[in-house]
Amino acid sequence: MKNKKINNLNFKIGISIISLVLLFIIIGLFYTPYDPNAMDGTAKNMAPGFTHLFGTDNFGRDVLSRVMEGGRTTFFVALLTVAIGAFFGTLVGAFTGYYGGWLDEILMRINDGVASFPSILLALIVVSLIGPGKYNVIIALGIIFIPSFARVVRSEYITLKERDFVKNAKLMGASDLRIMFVHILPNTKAILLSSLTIGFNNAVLAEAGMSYLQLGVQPPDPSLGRMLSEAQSYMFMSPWCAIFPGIMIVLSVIGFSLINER
Amino acid sequence: MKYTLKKVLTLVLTLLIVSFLTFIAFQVVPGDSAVTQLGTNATEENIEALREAMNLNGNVLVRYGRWLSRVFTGDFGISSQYKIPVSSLILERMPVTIWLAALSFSFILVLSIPFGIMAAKKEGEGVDRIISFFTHTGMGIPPFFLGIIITLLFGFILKWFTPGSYIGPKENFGLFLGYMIYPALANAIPKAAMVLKFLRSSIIRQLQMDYVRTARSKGNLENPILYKHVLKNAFIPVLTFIGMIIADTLAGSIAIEQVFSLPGLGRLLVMAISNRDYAVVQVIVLYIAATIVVINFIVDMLYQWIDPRVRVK
Amino acid sequence: MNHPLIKVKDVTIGFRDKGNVSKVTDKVSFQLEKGEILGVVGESGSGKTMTALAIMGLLSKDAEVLEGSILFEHKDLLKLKQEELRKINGNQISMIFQEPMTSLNPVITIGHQIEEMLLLHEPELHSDERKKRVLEALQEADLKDPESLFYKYPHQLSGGMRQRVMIAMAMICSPKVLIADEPTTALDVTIQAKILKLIKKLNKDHGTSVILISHDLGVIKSICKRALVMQDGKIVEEGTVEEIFSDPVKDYTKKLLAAMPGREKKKLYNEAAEKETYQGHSKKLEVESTKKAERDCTEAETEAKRKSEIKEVRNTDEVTILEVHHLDVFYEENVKKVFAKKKLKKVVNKVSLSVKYGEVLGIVGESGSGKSTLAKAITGLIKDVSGEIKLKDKKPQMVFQDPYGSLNPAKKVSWILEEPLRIAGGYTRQERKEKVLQILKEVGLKEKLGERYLSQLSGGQRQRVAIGAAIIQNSRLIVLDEPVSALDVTVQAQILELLKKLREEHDLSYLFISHDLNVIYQMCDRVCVMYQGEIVETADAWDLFHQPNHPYSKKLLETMV
Repeated sequence: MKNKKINNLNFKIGISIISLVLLFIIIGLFYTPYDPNAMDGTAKNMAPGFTHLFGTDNFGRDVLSRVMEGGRTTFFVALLTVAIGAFFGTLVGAFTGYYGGWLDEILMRINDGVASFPSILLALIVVSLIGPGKYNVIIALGIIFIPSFARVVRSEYITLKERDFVKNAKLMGASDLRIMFVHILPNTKAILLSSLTIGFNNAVLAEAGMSYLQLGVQPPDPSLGRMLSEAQSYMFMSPWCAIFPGIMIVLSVIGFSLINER
Repeated sequence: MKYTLKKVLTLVLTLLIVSFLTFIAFQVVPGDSAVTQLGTNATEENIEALREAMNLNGNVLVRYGRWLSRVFTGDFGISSQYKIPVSSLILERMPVTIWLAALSFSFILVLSIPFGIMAAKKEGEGVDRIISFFTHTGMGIPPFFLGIIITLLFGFILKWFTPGSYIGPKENFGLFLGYMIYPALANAIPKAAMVLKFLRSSIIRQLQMDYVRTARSKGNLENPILYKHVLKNAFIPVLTFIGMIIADTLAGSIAIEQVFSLPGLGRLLVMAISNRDYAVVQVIVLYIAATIVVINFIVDMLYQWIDPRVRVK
Repeated sequence: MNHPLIKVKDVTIGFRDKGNVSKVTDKVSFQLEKGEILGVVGESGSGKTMTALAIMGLLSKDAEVLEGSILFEHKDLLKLKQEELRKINGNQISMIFQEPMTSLNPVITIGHQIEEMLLLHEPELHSDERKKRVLEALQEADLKDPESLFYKYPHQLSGGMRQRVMIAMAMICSPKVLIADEPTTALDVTIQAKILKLIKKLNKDHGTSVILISHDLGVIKSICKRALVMQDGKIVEEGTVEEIFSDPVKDYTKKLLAAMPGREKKKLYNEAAEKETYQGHSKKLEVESTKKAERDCTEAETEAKRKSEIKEVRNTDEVTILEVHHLDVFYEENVKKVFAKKKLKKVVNKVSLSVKYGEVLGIVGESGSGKSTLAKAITGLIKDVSGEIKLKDKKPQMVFQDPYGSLNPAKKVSWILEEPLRIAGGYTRQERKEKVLQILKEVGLKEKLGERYLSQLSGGQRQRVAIGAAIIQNSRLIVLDEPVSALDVTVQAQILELLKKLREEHDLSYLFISHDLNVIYQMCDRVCVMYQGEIVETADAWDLFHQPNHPYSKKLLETMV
């Protein structure tokens, strides 16, 4: 009972953090205090203050505006990545889990193999082949996320298909497709939702990591990871350039993982 | 014994498959690498000679066989960006990465196990909540950002170390270790948080098992129950998780080496990708992949030792 | 007289959540005498296990004893420090639990788990001596080859063996009290009887007092002299087993007894009647009025009456709705290899049976006898069969044992009931709605329950939904696979009544599968006895229960305590 309460608190904190981050990004869609890419030679490396809340970088660009814009790019990449992974993963997982057989065996062996490798390494391999860039990163990460979703959905289907309610549906004469997507799928909702948040977090981290290595989103698109790598050379002079985009990543990841605690 | 044999066979097979995939992946690289490397002005003969040297002739299986036999003799080809044998490049960089991984892994264990047990023991109490706060924060920080923060805090503000002043292990081992502590911590903390959380919930789950009630009914006190009965059971799932974490630690070093400008394999990999130095990329990928496969094998072996239910199967 | 060994006085246990306290037991008081076996009976949730755990000091963190005392040899166990209490646990009071599969530590050998008792309570023993004692204890619990058992792990043992190990462990320090919490519930019928015998033997040989907790009146009756009946955290009745069974004072006890289906109940009533005439008492037995006539009759008369009742209901033409000839059913073994051929194991062997229109055919057997597999083969859920299944009507529907698993937890009740109609097609939305409402009424559920999710329903209500979903498709044959075994006794009786009512109203035939002979006797016209995949005997219910032919049938009937 005690635990439930704590988890509930976690959930509330998580929701608040996420709302804050989302609000920040949504405002950024319509309004940023400055043009994120406008350089101002007179305002280089300014510490946070009233004119520039988060300060400016060494080109005189407004960090607040760039964090808003960068957060948007990061979220956009993460969202699309997870969507690709979840959609194809669910399809693959549903069919392999429900029907089983040798195709399932082979796919799952490959899946297990892929899953034991860190996603950033795989993404780097793909990017080294197709080149960097926002959409290439989405494709690379999206493909890499398919197995993790397929795995989760498959194992759900394997247990659920043995449940008596599925046998009941068979006796009623329901078709396989109906059983798979009308009867079984709603029962995977909880676990799918938590995989979505975990996946989203991993995608944010992976995108940030790749952009930090300058292999992800390319300039002039700002992305949080890219901002960190650019800021690093001026760490001593203007640490805020690194701190604010970093905090943005940390907050969104913590927010989602708290929601998932439930 | 049968279990071990089966696992060894799987290991060999997986290694072959992984090496084949690594090989094949870099065969789909667009363009003729030989032409790219020599420029369009090169003569036919020069190109042909390089093609031969780069193992670009013959069908895929033949080339894979040739490549594999070269890999076994330690001949990985020539790096296109450094113009020196890939093997010497790798050998030079490998110790840094191995040290980083080993230090990170030690930190992960040291941080996660005691605190994980403590949090589980005091579930729901103040200590648990404080630990849980740090776990959540730790898990949310990408290692490279943590690296930046550590550089800022310990390097620029507290001046415990000078960022960028890396010293090789052969020059001065003490200073080398002193410097490596910081990247290792940056790499370890987020993963330690994950292991801690996993271990905590595994212990809590085990504490609710029927056999714990039996142990209490026998007259055991709480601490002996935890150490004699619960921990061994709780470690079983954690073991697999730690296997995954080691793989993550290896991958994490790619970014960490960048942050702390360490001349390791990770940094070499990033450079090689940027410069399309596929010979180098291929070998590093193969190296990391093989390491992960071997780690999984070791985890499987440990399983057999810790879980009697696996032994019999 | 001697002092009682354990004296429980006014014990109230409650769960604390924020400021609220919800009580699980309310001023429970009883005594345990030296050398006796005390039965504690009640449905799940009646607080019997909690009381036992309180004696052991094993209540979970969120539960606590709010008031009262538990005296053991003049010491109040509730006031002892944990260290002192744990010196008594295992040594003087020990306990065995319901779930032998999970009560042992999976990663420690049997030998070491038992040895731990000695390490804790008799640390002065030498290691050779310890091992000797462990082997003796295993032997005493009727376990063969204790030497090799010593080095085995729990997963290598069957449920019955594990429960014996638990008993050996509990008894190794020769405790004064053994608490057995549903020790046989998770086990097969034939093993149940053996475990109970073992407990009885240990009680005799060592003089250990036993508290036996069970929801099963049969178990209590078989080895207890004295018993308590618990309901909603209170002791509602206390006395000798004879008194309680023959002359229940409290309504709840009567209800429990009445819910004990079939033969057992009749046996008890007859005993009661005998006793009545013998003692010349004219005390009235207040049982439901419909059962009154039945009680006064002799068994044979009752049976004749039951049969004639059934005849009225039964369709006069004796046409079969289902015929099964020489049916073999195979079970696909889990082979974890990629390209291995599937391995088929025969679980049902040359079975023939037939069900007539309006008839209830029972199939009885232990778990693992293949009766559920047979049911699934008949409904077509298992395809690996050879032989003949002739069905004269619509596809049969099935009601499963566990109403928690047989209905889709992600859907509302009305959706579940509507789904068969949607799949069948040919109904308008309005017609479907009406039909669902009609069915809800027929299975005795309120209309508003249609809008609920299953998690908001009780087990009995869920089983009603499952039955509704089965009959909504107008199948004449319904396969009932242990339809009441997952339910509490009182709910069981209600569901059986519902099934009888629906059979009359819809002229249904049932294939009724159960391990519970009482339920079978109460419901079925004819019965097949299944043993290791074969039908060893088919007979009219009355004949089978009075003149079983096959040795296995006889053995099975003996277990009917």
